[in-house]
Order: sequence, then structure tokens, then C-alpha cells
Amino acid sequence: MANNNRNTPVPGRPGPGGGGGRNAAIRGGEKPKDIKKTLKKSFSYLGGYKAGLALVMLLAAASSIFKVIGPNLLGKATDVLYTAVENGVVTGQIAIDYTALQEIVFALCGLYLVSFVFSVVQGFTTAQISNNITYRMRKDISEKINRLPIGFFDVTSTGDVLSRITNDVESLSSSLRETLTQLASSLTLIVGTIVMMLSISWQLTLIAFGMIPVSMFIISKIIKISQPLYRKQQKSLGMVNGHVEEMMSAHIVVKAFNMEDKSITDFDVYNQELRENGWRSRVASSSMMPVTNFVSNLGYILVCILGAGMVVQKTLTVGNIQSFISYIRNFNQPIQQIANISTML
Amino acid sequence: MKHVLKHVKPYLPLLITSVILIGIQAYCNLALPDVMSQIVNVGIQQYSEKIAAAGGRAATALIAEQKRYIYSMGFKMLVLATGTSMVALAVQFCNARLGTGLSRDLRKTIFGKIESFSGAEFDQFSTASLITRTTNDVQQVQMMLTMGVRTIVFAPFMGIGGVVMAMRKAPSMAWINALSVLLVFCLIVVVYSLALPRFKIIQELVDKLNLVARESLTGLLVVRAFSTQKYEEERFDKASNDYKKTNLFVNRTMSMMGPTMGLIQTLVPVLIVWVGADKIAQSQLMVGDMMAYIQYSGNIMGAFMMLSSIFIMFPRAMVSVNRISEILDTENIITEVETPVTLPQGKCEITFDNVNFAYPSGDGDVLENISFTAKPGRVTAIIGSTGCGKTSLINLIPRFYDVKSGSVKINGVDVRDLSLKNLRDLIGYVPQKSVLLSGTVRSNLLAAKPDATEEEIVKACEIAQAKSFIKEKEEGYDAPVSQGGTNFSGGQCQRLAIARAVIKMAPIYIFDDSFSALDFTTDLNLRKALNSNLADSTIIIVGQRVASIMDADQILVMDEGRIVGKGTHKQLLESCEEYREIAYSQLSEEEV
Repeated sequence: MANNNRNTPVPGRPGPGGGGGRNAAIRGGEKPKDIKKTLKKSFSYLGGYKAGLALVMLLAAASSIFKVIGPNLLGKATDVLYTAVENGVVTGQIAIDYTALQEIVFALCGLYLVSFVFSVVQGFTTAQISNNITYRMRKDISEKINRLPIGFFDVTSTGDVLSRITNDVESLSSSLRETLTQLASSLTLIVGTIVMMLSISWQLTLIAFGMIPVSMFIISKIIKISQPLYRKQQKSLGMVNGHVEEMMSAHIVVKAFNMEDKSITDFDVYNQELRENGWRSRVASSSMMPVTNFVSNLGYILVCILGAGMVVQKTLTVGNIQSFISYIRNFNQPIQQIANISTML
Repeated sequence: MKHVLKHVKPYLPLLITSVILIGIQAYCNLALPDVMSQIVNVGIQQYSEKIAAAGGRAATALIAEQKRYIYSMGFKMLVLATGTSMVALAVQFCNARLGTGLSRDLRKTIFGKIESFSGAEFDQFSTASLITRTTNDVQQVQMMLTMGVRTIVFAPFMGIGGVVMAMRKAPSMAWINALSVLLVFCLIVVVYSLALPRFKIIQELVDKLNLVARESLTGLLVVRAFSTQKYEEERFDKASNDYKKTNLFVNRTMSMMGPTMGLIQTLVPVLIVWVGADKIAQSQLMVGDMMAYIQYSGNIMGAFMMLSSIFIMFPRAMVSVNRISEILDTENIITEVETPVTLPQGKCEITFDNVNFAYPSGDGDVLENISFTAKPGRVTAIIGSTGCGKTSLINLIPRFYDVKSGSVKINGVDVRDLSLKNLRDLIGYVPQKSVLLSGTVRSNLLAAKPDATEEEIVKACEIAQAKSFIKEKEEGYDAPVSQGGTNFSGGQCQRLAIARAVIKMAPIYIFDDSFSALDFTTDLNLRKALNSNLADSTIIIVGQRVASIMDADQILVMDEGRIVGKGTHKQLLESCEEYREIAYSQLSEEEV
């Protein structure tokens, strides 16, 4: 649930190479061979912040480690209670080991507090870095504009350049921001969680692992469908933006020549196209969540059933099931985040 | 807001379906932990106790029964999980249809509205802001709807459902939920009261950034010509820096939310275990129920957090909604009468009768006591220094603006009594900036007269002296024209803009300083061609060059919004001081 308050992907960004409108045909040739260079360039902006980025990633990792230990301790607390209940059946009275419980509770509070402090510092630093990067990118673009050959502006509409300065830079920086910190915290979370899971039960861990290929397979299938749709949507968006931009700039001529109706009819065509491509793209990319959710629930169910069987056979404790369920959730969260990010890219 | 709600109406069935489906989804989600608690309570604890008590053969039977029970519960969970996902998919489908449909309709309404704006309304907004309002702002609203509806409905269902379920498990621990919700609530209030006011500012700063960037883009040639790149860069830098500062603050405040929320979220289960221990000791609570309780408390807080994410989107979207409403609420100043008079194409005499005019946004009168008549078949020229009101005057004829007092009449009919379409069909207008549309030469001409034949197109270009350079183009009349005609020279643009007006063969022609970029020969040839081909039309020429207007049948000399001289070139040279000044400054003794 923690990712609900993160910045959500902005569907409105005209992606690179997408916002061209009638220029799309002209710029059509510029996509594949430039990707590597573009990526390299994007990452070169990170260069100056190596120390800051390292700190951010370190903090994210540290904060994740503490989060990973938590559920295990909480499970131990449950076990203390369950053992008391079990013994109670024999003795007729439930006697809880309060000293053990207290120790666990204190340890938990400490862990979570430290994790909190790390997260806050990390958040502050990330915000600083990402804002500096966007600022520098915009500055560079603004300076570049004054150095580009005039010919560039003949084939590129003003709206297109504008949307690069505002929207594209924004979405690039937010993906950089999200990707980097998530990379660090997700990695530690995954590794830490695997260790904890293995320490509880290798059988159950195997089940959880079994879910990954399933998830990955589904995610890759969905991406295959959603990517082209997203591109189509961005292209239509570019058409709409281009038309609006042009008609606004030529407002007086549109009026003088009674072209309002024609302009509106044209707009309707682009607009309808955007709608059609838009909802398809949305459905495709948003189906990622329910589907990966289902897979994660499947893991949850299997753990509940098999875990229960193991508890009956005394090879597992009730608290273990509880911790394991939390871990499965932890474990699936990064996978779902990967799924989310991949629809954004 | 009411505009947006009005647009939601057609999608009400879709919206209701979505709400119901989301309810089902929430129910399925809430049922899962309950089944799990039964596995622990009944499947593990109670059966184990029974088995321990029974012993022997009865125990073996019980163990088999226990297995069956656990499996049946597992199956129940599987059904629930499948249901949740199917329903969630359906919800996404509904919301995608809803969101994209609504934004399409909204865009259509906004665009239509802007197209109905006259100059007066259009001036209230910058072009850049009109564009962001039709595109980005609508996207924001769409996003709020697609994500928002899901969240706004799902969260309360989960929250309330979670409370109900938790209360059933352990009513005596309800205060923990109350406390956690209270903490989350406080956090949200604090964070938002810090960040919210800045969202509007951020939006404004984005606009500013857009504006500055746009200006330096559209004025690119000027910037280069005068080498003011540094100045432009500094201006942009300032806007960018302002944006950065505010954005940093908001990002930081927002980044506090996650960890704090996480802290509350992780400490609450600890509290539940601590408090639950006592209840378990007193046999008031079963361990499985406590485990479910922890999950429900997570659901309740999760619901609150989801709602809080609405508070991030909502103000942003509200800003967008308001900006959209500003457009839709703008009342058109230029309106049409209910039963317009229709003027047929034919000779038109234009009369200005004691016209006063002021821009809605400005204070003083720009035009004062303007009276004159422009006769068909005659050329009326208007001359005067920059800013004397020439363009303002002619803008009154096609009703880009309306007079403040007095009237503009065509054949005795007030222009305000005509339908706008009828009025503008009578006029061939060549604007000061020759604004060509992207497409081809042909498409630009066809825009003025959709049913024009090939001959008409060629003829119009011939009259406008554009034929020669079009012929040089490989594609001829299908030569591409980029937005604003930037791939043609200034003079070529003007001639194309003239051709576009000429093709209409309109009874009235308005040339707003449209010969300025032409060389003298072309100017002369053009005027000759116009005179012979538009013999019956009423022609009004605004100009700065005496040479191009001195042949006019009537020249109006304007100064500071008034007509200070009226007559032919000869008459004015004798009677009008201002005209003489202009003429002598531009022409040699003998030319005059």
C-alpha cells in the first residue's frame, strides 16, 4: 500500500518521438539508433551527484533491511502467544511469557524508528537531486534552443518543443527519481526477504519463487501488448496538441475565414482517435495490477494451506505463517513495482 | 466544477457499474484474512485440541477431517482471489472508458468554446495558457477521474469494511483502530496544509515556464538577429529556478509522508500484539483472530492512505478544473442576434458612423469619433503612425471586436445585425502577420474557399503575384507549408495570404499592412492586378508606405485614434499637415 502516495505516472506526457503531429512522419526516422545515446545522455546528468546518489541508495537499502527484520520478530511475538494458548489446553490456564514479549516489542519499535529516520533523510536528498537535475536539463535545453539551426524549428512545431521542456523533462526526472531509489530499496528488500523466507521454510520459499516466472511471463506478455498501444496513444495526443496549438496561433485567420467548423471537425477526428487509442492503452497497462495481484494472492493462499499443514505436523509455527505472509507481500511488492515502472517507460 | 460534472452525466451508467464492481472487489479483499483466521482458529487450533483430546482411531478420522477442512478453506480463498482480479479488470475497463470519454468530451467543449472566442475574449488568456488548458489540464482531470474514482470508492469500502470486520473479531480493541486512523489523519492534515497552497503556485510556475519558453521559441529569429540569447536564457533560468524551489519544498514535504505512514503502519501491529496478549490470556481472543485483526488494521490505514493520495491529485486536478472553468465561464462578448439580417454577395458600402472604441482590457478609448464611408469599387487607404488605431479600426468590420458606441454598417445594415458567418463571408481579410496554416499551398487556399476549382486557385495566385515562386517549387501547389509559413519568406507569405483572401472574390477586402514585405515592383504589379480583378469590391488598405497608397480613391490619415485628414493624395498634401509630414519623409520631391 505504501506506493499509493507515490507520484503516479502522468499519462499526459507526449513521449519522445511521439508528440510530432504532422511532423511525426518527418521525425519518424529518429527513434531506434538514438536510444542508447539518449539513455547515456540522461544518465550523464546523474554524474555530478554520484556521492548524493550513493547516499540515497545506501539509505534506501538500510531502511529496507530494518523493514525486512520486522515481520520475523512480529511472528515470534505471535508464537509466544500461541505457545501460551497451546500450553493452556493442557494446564487449563493461559500463561503468557511477558518478558519475552516485551523484549520483542521493544526491539520492533527500535527497528522501525531507525528505518523511519533513514527513509526521511533519503526522501529529502532524492528530492534535492531530482530537482537539480530537472533544472539543469531545462537550462541546457533553453541554451540549446539558441544554438540549434533554424531549420530544426521549421520541421518541429512550437508545441512540440514546449512539451519537451515541460512534460518530458518532468517525467524523465520522476522516472529517474523513482527508478533509482526503488532500485536500491527493492534490491535489498528482495535479497533480505529471500534470506528471511529461507530461514523460515525452504518449502514455502520454493512456492513463493515459483510465482516469479508466472508473474514475469504475464508482465512481459502485457508489456508486449501495452507498449505499442501506449505509443499510439502518445501519437494521437501529439496530433491533438499540434492541432490546438496551430489553431490558437492562427485564431484570427480561423475567424476571418469562417474556418471554425472545419477546425472543430478536424479536432473531433484527432480527439476521437485519442480517445480510442487512449482507453485501449489504459486498459492494457492497468491490467498489470489485477493480474500480478492475482498471482501474489495465489502465493498467499498456497502458503496458508501448506503452512497450516506444516503447523499441524509441528514443522512450522503459527507465527511463522504470519511472518511468511508479510514476506510474500514484501516479495511481490517489488515485482509489482517493476510491472508498474515498465508500463511507464 | 459544474462543467466537469455536466460532462460526467452521460457516463453515469458506467460510473455506477464501476462503483458496484469496486464494492465487490473490496468485499472479496476483506474476506481473505477472515478465511485465513478460520484456518488458524479452527483448522489448526481447534482440530489440534480435539485430536489431542480424542486419541486413537477417532484422532485419525479427525486428522483426515482437518485436512479436508484446510483444503476447503483454501479453495474458498482461491475463488475469492480469482473474483477480486476479474472484478478489478472490469473496473479498469470501466474507468478507462469513463476517463478517456470524459476527457474527449471536455476537450471538445473547450476547443469549441475557444473557437467561438472573439479577439476580446482571446486576449484574456495567453495562447500558451489556452493550449495547456485544452491539453494538460484535461489530462489532469482525466487522471483524477480514472485513478480517483477507483480510490475514492475503494478506500471507504475497504476502510469501513475493515472496521466492521475488525470489530467482529475483537470489539474491545477498536480504540487501536481509532488511534491509528487519528494519527494518519493528523499526518495528512499537517502535510497537506504545508503542501497544498503550493500546488497552485506550481501550476502557475509551470505556465510561466511555458510562456517564457514559448516566447523565446516564437521570437527565435528576432532573438538571434539581435543576439539577445543571453537575456532569453536568463529569463528562462529565472522561471526555471522559481519552479525548482517551490517544487523542491513540495517534494520534500511529500516525501515525509511515506516513511511516517510506514512508521504508523508498522507500529500498530506491534501495539495489537501487545494489547492482544492480554485478551488472549483471558481467552477473549483467538490467535487466528488477532492475526486477521492485524491485517484488517492494515486495510483500514491503507484505505486512509489511499484517500490521502486523492488529496494529492484532487487539488492539482481542482486547479485544472478551475482553469478549464475559466474558459467555459467566459461569456462571449461578440454575440449574434437571434434573427440576423442576411446580406447577399454583391456590392457593399461600408459606413463608420461616429464610432468610438476601447479594448475591454484597456482603459482609454482607442478610437474616437470615426466617421467615413468606403464605397464599392473604390480603394480606401488608412495611414498613420504605429499605434494610431489603424488595425483597431479595421478589426471592427469583421467584428473581431465590437464598437463601444456608434456603428459600423454595410449597405446600411449594422454589422451586429448580421450573422457572423454571413458577415465574414463578405470579407476577404489579409492579416498583418500572414499566419499560414500547415499543409500545402493548395490546402491554405482551400481553407478560404473549400469548393475552389484548380483555375480559381491558379488565378488567385496569379493576382497575388504568388504564381512565379510557386511554380519554382517542385511540388507546385502541393508544396508543403509549415506552421505559420516559416518555410516561406516574409514576402512570399504575404502573397500567399493575399491569394487566400483573393480566392474568395469577396465584396469587401481588408489588407492590414499586407504589402510591407514586398518589393516596389511586386507591390505595384499586385495593386494593379487587384484593381483590375476586384473592380467591384470595396477595398480597405492599411499601410505605412505612402507609395503603396497614394493612388487610393480616399485616404484616411489617423493620429492617436482620430481621423485627422480625409481625401485624395493631392488634397491631403495641401490640407493635412500630418500627411505632408509622412509623405515628405518617405518620398522624394518629384514623387510627391
